[in-house]
Amino acid sequence: MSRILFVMLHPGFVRYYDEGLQALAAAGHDVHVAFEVSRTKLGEDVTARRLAERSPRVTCGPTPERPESVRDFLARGDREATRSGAPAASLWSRDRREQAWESLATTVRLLLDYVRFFDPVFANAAALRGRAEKRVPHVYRRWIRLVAGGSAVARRALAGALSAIEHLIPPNRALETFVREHNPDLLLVTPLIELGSQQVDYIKCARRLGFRSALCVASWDNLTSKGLIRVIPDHVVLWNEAQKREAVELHGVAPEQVVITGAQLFDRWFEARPSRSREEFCRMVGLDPDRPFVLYVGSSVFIAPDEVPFAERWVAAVRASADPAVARLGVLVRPHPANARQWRAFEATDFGDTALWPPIGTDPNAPDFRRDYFDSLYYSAGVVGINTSAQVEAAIVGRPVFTVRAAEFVHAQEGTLHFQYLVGGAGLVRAAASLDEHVRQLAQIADDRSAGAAGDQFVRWFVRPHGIDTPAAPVFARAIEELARLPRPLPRDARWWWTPLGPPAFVLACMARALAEDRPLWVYGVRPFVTTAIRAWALAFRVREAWRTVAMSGFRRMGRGAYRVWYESSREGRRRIRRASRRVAKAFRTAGVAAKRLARRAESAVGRGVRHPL
Amino acid sequence: MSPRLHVLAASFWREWHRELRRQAGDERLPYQVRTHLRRSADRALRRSAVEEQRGVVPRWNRRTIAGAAPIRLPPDDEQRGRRLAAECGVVPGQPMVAVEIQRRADRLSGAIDLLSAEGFRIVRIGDPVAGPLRGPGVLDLASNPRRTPLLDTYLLLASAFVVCSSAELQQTALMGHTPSLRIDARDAFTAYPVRRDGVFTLSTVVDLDTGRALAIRDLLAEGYFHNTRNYGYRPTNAAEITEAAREMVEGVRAGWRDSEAQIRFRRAVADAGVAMGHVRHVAEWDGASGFIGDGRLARVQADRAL
Repeated sequence: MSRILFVMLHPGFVRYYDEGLQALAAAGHDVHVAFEVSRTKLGEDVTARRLAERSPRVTCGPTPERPESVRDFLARGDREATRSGAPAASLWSRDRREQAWESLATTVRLLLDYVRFFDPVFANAAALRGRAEKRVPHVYRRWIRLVAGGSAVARRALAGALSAIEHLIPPNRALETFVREHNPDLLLVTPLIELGSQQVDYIKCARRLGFRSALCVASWDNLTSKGLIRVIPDHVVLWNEAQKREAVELHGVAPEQVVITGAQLFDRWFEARPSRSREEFCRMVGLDPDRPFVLYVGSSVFIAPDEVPFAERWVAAVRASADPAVARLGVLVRPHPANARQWRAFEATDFGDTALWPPIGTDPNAPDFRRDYFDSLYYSAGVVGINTSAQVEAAIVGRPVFTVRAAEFVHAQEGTLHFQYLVGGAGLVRAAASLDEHVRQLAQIADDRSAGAAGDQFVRWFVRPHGIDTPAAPVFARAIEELARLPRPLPRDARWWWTPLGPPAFVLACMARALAEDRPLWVYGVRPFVTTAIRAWALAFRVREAWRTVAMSGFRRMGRGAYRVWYESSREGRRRIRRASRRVAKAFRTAGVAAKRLARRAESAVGRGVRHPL
Repeated sequence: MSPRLHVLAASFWREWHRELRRQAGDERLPYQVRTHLRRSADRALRRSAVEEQRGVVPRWNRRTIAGAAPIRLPPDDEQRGRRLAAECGVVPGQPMVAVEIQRRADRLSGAIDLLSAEGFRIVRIGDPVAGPLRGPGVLDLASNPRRTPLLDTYLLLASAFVVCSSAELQQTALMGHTPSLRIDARDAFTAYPVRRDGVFTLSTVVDLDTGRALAIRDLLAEGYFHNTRNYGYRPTNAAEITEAAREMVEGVRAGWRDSEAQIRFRRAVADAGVAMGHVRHVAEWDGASGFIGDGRLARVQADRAL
């Protein structure tokens, strides 16, 4: 049986693979899932815990801590922040060296991700390019725009130079130890293509140590809307032919490295059955059970940062339809779980027979959450959205799917490649150029509930390429099993010529670390002087303190001696005075006694008639 | 010193603050030196804030604009505008209300009925994104291919008053002395009308963390301007728009009168502006000079504002 190490960015990715991982565990394989970042925003940690509880063969845990995560890198470069940044460690400390290499790695990866969006394929993807640009420190931006925005040759040369630097960066030792300790037959990584992702290091470790590695493409937009696969793993496991084309053409993966499994995360939608009757469901969400309803599915933050005004216009357009069947349609709005907050400003009661479900703040890991979602898809007459995977889920459930091209969402519709799958040739979505056209399209579903068949072809092509009745999770598990059984590749040691290039690369790394702070250039010019001045001040301070300490201790000793002399001498003096006074007193007393005695003798002599002897 | 220099100075002091804080983070330095550096860094940050405040250039000067003569189109342009308007169906001489709306045109149905009943022709200008405007006496030019900026400006200046949801149009109306009703404003400082013939309504502001709707008086507190991304906005509702439109008609026909609540609200906004002179947004909209304008919050909202 095989040992599989699956490195995920955060526990949120478990939901994409839980069924596949369970199938692997059931087949007797040991799977360890390691998370780079712990995330609890949407209860992702609960998903991971549940996965580990289901089988003793599946374990979960964190990856080794990085000297500098991508988040740290970006936080250091935040120009709006007033915080100080990291304290300067010694240049020769191991921490500092590792941080410098991490900074260089993140810089190079962010630059590569930015450069990719200058490719003509992304000509309309200004928002994606903008998102990548925001993460790049200011100092590089102008140069990248100048070079990458020029000719294709310049762009390729720049990307080649950046890739060469990427190969010079040594992998983190802690990661190597981590991978070696797990000794996996197969190392899986997901998503790998996040902007500036550090998961590249796992692929590099696997190559260096001679472990087989594979990238699992988690979602339908991963290969087109995010970063590059910067170091190609041995295999790429993905959903369908469309993604294979993306991997080959946009990322340079060899076709024979690609394994197509279908979209395992959608399996549950094929098997799901409604949990309650339509009447019960409609009453629960607050809709009239006697009327058909349309489900509006919200999109993610990047796609629809300000979706509420559009949704309001959309409901108003439905209500204003000349066709009474459309105007009377119920409307159920379902916010995207990661973009739900803005929907607090949505006033469903303004429109009549309109409801927002689930309520904002509902735990997406609650047992009812997915069930309610399926019920809302199942009982809807049609599904409307901007650009979201919920539209794919609606197609699986067999509901007609709609979208409206809107000016405020151009960046997310025309500006993304994955949207073209929805509306293109085998596309499942009926796209309208305006709300009027969209409302006319809705009139068709108000009449005919069986209009969802158009999506079957899309589902077959995009979700289940191995057959509409073949679940993808077992295919995924089998594919992973087969990859894990393959012999291990030979370790790929560092090339000999990397050694002389190490020191200049380290200088580059130190520069990258400094520039990642994203400060104006004058700050870097002034810094050595400021540092020298402060060090000189600190030195002067120390000298003064030392002198004070020494001097003060001398004064103190002298003072103490003087006091002691004074104290002891005064004490002795007092003793002597006391003694002398005692002697004087004694002498006086003795003299007094003698005088008294003489006087008495004289008195007695007078009494006897004896002349005084004196 | 010019505002630009103040901005540069603010940037310098901010960077200086960050540099000193960075140096203060070096644990090898003596404690007293680090403490001193931190204090210096804090001073630099305060100085940066002061410079930043000095660098704010108000977008306008409310007092100057209040007394300015109205702008007019050059005679040729005015003639062309009139001709274009006639070609689009605007009858010369008929009293007209220009309408521009960015969010849900259906909310204007009550106001349109009212204006139509009062004998106004409603001409819709601006962006058609809010959906079609329907109703008696409505001429929706928003999606008319013949619409040009000149036509929009002509109609705006020729109208009895304008109902708009954009600040730009409200200001254009102000420059041309066209009475305006601004709806869906997000704060009083941006939208407060300078001239006496201006009325505005506020959106309902919702705290996105809690779902709580803020009271209008909360919009005059400094906390509201700290993180506006934390708020969502519900547009002014149809009933309030209709009431505000009624107030406009009364004002245009019978002269502008303030209710007690409107006077109180104006005073509250002016006082809040003076107190919040250091808030960038307030300074930008010249809300800190003590004169906020002679216009008013719509009576229907002012009654419950304070």
